[in-house]
Amino acid sequence: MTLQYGQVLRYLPDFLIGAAISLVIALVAFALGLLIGLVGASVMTYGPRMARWGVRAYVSFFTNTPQLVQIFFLFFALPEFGILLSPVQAVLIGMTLNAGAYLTEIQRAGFQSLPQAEIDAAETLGFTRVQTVRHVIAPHIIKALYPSLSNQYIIMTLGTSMAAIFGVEELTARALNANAISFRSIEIFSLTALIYIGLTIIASAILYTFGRLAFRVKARAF
Amino acid sequence: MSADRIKGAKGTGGLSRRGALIGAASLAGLGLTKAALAKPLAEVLSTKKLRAGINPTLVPFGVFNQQNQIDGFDADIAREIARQMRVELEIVQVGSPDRIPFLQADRIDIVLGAITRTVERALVIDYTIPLHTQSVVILTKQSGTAVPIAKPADLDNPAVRLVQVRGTVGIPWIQANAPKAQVTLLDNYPDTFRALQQGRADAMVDVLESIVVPMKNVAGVQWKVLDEVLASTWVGIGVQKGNTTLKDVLNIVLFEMHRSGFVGKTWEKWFGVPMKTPVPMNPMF
Repeated sequence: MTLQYGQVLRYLPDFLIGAAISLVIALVAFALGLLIGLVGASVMTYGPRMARWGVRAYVSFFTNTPQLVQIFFLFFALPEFGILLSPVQAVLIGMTLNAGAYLTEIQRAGFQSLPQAEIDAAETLGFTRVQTVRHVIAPHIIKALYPSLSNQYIIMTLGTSMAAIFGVEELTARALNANAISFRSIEIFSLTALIYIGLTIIASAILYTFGRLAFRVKARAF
Repeated sequence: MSADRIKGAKGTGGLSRRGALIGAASLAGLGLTKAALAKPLAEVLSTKKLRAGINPTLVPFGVFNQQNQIDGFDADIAREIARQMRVELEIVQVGSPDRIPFLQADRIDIVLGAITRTVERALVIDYTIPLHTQSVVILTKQSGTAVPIAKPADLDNPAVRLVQVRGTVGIPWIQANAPKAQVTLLDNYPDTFRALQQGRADAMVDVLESIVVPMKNVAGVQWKVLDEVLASTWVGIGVQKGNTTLKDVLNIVLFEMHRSGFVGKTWEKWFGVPMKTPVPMNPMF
């Protein structure tokens, strides 16, 4: 068997468009998940008992079931109840809720890592609640969590390949289409793997630079 | 919840196999070693074993029977080929994305699963003479479609939503004849039928042979298959590129299976009707 990459290079522009779609899905789901996680972690740390239970149930459900099953439910089970989500909607909602659960846990760990002494000091200095969050809590938590958050983002970038199953034409979907037409599976999937490696390297580089500039944090870098 | 739990890999169920495939494929592609050659005829005969790749999600070409073993039209054909060659048959389960890598990595000797013969694919694998034909038709619903669909031209409308299995022959037909329609591509037949049933799509362009059995199993939908045959496609059995010793024997075995009526009888057994476009008898190949 001979590998002929020349035969599959013509798919490259199409694959790169797919890669951009993968990147956008990961970015949107991560950003929204980060917000959900912030609310969830705040409730779990400072909220009333009932709300804490609710958040705990949400986190348990989404971290103990496969993401594939979650999106499958949104895409194929909800129409039975009259809710018809488009492929992109189902994938985005599924990945966002899933990310929200993991990011709740990650951020809760960050809240717990905050020494009480720092909050006491802020209180002694007469900081308002907002000032305390801004100058004491936020910088500490962001520094502590940056590596975990970067890691989660990279996991999500690769996780977008699941969207192919639900009809979103991202990178994996386009690779599968090309594979069905040309049968050059090894060339196509190795090219796809290289693009995914490229995506995560780009993501890592952005996170690393952003972390260094904004928070003086050393994030994971290749 | 412990920290390692947070970092733990997420379950990705059905993707693990594809992930492994892509991983293996990329390793093979990047640090290329000389790939295994498929078993030529001599080796099939000396090991007395023929390995056939069959896709059990392609009902009724491949099905899981009550004992959870792979059965179906393709399985019957493969068993008969093995019987005539006096070797033992080993059925290997394959899916759409991995069936060709399986062939190229010498995990299977022949691959079935309604593989339509195209020029592009013939650059990569070798085909036997046709085993059967397929007829491209339009499957739609009696009611509940975005616009009435009575003839193929009705599909070329921005309001029409089509759903297709990735890589099937209907897709190039749609690109050429119904470019205005919206198309969603899904992974397998159960998912596409569910999408049609749930009102996610109005129609599907595919081969009659792939839809005739599954559509009967979908409850609560009044299906309608338009009469026009848009195209006929030819399906052979795939062998590794250059494996002529095996292919030459398979051609003669298949010719005899057509001549004895075995292919036709087996077809009717699984489809309930004769092949829509018969394979003509041609002793020259």
